[in-house]
Amino acid sequence: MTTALGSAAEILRAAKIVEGVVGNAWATDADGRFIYVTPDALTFLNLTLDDLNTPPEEGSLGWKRVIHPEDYEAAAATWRHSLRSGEPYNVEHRMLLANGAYGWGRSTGQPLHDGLGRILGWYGTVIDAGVSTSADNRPSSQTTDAPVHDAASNTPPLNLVHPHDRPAAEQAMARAFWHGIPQIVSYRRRQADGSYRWAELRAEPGYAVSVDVDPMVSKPGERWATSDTLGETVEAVRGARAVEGLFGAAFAFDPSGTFTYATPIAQTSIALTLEDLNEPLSVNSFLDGGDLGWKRSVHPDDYEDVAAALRRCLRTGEQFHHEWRVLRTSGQWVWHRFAVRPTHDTQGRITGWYGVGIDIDVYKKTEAALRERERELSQLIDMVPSHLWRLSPDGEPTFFNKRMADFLGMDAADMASPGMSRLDRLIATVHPDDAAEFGNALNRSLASGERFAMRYRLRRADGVYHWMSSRAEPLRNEEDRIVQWYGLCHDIDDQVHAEDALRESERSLRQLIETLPALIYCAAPDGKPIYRSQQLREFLGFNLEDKDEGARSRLVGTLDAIIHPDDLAVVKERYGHSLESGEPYALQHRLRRSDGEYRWVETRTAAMRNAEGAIVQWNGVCFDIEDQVRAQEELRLSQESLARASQAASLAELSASIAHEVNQPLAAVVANSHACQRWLNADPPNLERAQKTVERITRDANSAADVVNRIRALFRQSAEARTGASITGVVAEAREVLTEEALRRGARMDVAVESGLPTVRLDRVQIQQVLVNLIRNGLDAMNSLAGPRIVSIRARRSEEMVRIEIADRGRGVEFPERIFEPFFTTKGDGMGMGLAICRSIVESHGGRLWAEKNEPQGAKFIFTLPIEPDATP
Amino acid sequence: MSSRRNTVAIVDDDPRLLESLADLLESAGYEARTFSSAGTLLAGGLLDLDLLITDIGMPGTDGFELRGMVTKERPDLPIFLITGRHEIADQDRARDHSGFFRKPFDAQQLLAAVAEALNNQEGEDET
Repeated sequence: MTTALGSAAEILRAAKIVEGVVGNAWATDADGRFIYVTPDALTFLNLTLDDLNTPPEEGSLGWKRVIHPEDYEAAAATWRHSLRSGEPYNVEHRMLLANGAYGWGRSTGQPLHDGLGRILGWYGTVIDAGVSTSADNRPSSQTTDAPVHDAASNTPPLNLVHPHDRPAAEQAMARAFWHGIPQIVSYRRRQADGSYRWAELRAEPGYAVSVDVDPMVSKPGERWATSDTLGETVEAVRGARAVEGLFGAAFAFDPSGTFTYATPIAQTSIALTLEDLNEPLSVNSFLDGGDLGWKRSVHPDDYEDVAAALRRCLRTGEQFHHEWRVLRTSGQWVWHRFAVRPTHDTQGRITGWYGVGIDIDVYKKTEAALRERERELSQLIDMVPSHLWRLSPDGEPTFFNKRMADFLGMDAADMASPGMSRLDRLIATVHPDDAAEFGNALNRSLASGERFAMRYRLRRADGVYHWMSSRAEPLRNEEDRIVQWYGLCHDIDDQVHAEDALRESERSLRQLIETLPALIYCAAPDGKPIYRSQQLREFLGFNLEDKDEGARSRLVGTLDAIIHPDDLAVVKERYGHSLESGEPYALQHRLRRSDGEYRWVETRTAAMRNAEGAIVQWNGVCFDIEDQVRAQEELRLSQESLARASQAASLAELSASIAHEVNQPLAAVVANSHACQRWLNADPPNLERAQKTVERITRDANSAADVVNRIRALFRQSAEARTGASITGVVAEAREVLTEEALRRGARMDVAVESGLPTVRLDRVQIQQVLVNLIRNGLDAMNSLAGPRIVSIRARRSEEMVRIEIADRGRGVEFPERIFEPFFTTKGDGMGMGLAICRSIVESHGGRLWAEKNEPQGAKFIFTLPIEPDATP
Repeated sequence: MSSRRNTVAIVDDDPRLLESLADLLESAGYEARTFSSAGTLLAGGLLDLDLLITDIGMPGTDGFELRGMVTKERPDLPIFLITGRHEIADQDRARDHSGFFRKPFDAQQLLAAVAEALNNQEGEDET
């Protein structure tokens, strides 16, 4: 029990200390049962100590009554947790005040341990956070009633603050409370006579409500608080008290450095009493290099400097400002900044010193962190693989990062040179070809505030120019005035060179496409033409956009304009199919040239696909195949002619028909002639019948002549069909026709055509008929020949004629002229028409056909054809 | 021979030939009957005919076919074939036949052949 009572006294003492600092305090036993609460606070909350220990209901806490329902559960849970774990208690919550309003407050609590680490109990305080509530609601009873010792010793109740300054004061206190950073604000404080005087308020975090240290320091005879004899330091102590009011702690010492006053908090925080502080550690006085007890509170590494600085100040009377590490009772070294001023008497003699030490540990650490951050930032700025620069609002370079300085070979500061502005100097580092534009663009931006962006060549320290991509933007202040220009300058030299190479490569490719001897085009996936090579543009005589009129698409417009009407349907169908299916397109059709002529072309188009296989473009090529098509057409016609020529090979059959036609009237003539003769020879002569028969003879003979004339006409009428042709080709075709037949008959043809024969205007089919007929005659003539059966065919130029000879080794021709008469034949089965027709054909061509004896044996048929007047070999 | 004139029938699709042959035969004292096709001849009957001269190349029934039909009915009737198409004349079936003439034929020869054929027939009749 004694232990419990002893521990209660211990806790109570702790609470009392807190109460002295903060103005209110509480204490509980280890189980959380309240044993003390500052009486003013109980009044303020309209509670008794018993109320706090009496749960309003089972399982809840006594103070539930005064905690806002929304905050209670969290606060209660935290409190229980602290009781269990021994962790400090720190909760913000709204509290029900005596006036019935809720105000924000912060409750903090600490456990107190015995020597074995057991929790003896808890002590803590409630700090009023309701700074933004009206002054009347503030729990400021202590301060409003307390006597004001010093203008700055207490945080003033707001009703003492000039109404105009209240918002600032309130905000300062609020900031101090919430951010934990002491705030100092100037305000006009109302004096007892109702006048206002300027004063300063230091708003401490957590202390914003009231800090009244007066009772502690004003206790007379508190030997460890104040020196027995203040002596001349009375003034200094008064200064210290004033400072104490501001900063919570202060001290005073006499001109020899002997402490005469120290705020108990300051003393306890370094665990030294005044005696301890002043305890001589050596025989010499402090001024003579001796050390005093406070040395123990100074970090050994800092002490010599501190002592030397202080001695100097004591001698010179200079204000003392120094930072060092102070030993806390917890054993930690904590950075403090000390400021000490002397006090003087009316003669100006120093009567004492007063000062304060402020905990700057966080600041020190923050400073180090800041310095580290700054170092990192500047490292970042220098390490960024780019040039960073900064200009003043009028364009003077004020900063280059290291890379830029290295590149230029000079720092921003080096830019200053006589007779030249820094800006001009900067412009001078730009390639002469770009400098004017660079200067203009930069000046324009400086004047307008618009963003600067440009590519230019910048001279490196070694004189080599590099392409740069540069940008700068202004930084504006709250008044929208430009404060700085920040710029980024990126070396794009490699990129520019790569782009140049790419452009060159593209130009070369384009040139390749433009000069390829083909018509090239590209189309979008839907077939819309998007590119035509120069050759195609020239061929068509118009370009892409020229067909974009009206409702028709460019594709339809283009097709309608350039495709031959007969081919349009199939082109559209096939092209449409390709566009739909993605299959390649290939078609021959007629394409309209710019002069209106349709030319045969072959168009081939294939799809170009991306990595996913989707069609991105159609690429097409178009060849002019007009000549090819014409050649094919001629070849086809020639083949047709050949077929007709092979029909002409049955000229014998033709002549048989002709013979029949002629034989009929001839037979009639013969019969009639004989009959006529009989009628005349009769006795008496039957003149009447004879007369009649003669008429018939005339009639039928004419009929026979007509047949021959008709045949001749038949071969003459084809004069228009004549074309300039090579006799070589015609001979070759005739030979082709008869090759098989000659083989069958054991004969061969020996062809020799003089090279470079001029063209002859002829009807190919008819001349083939002549050749075939003559060659076949030659074969026929050698039917019974034992020796080699050879028909030799020779063609050569003879003056203005081409002379063709067909020679055989047969029996020869008995009647070289008569054989050309119709119906004259030397063959057992011949009709005698072939040679007559051949001669008709040759003569109709303006040539001649005749027969000669061949040497040493056989017959030779020769025909000539006139050379075209303007024909060249 | 004086008691009655021998009747010779001529078949040809060419009217000029019919005319001239009829003229020739009449000038030689025969009665000539002309037919423009085999059909018209067969329609009129063959009984009173003494000799038949027919063209070979005719539309419809040609000369060879007509000869076959007539020979069946009148095996004794002399038949001469004439043609303007020499390739037909070269055929074997034409060659073997004695009474075969090519247009234009020798009128004298034809008349001689006709006379001979009719005489042979009469001689046969007398025996």
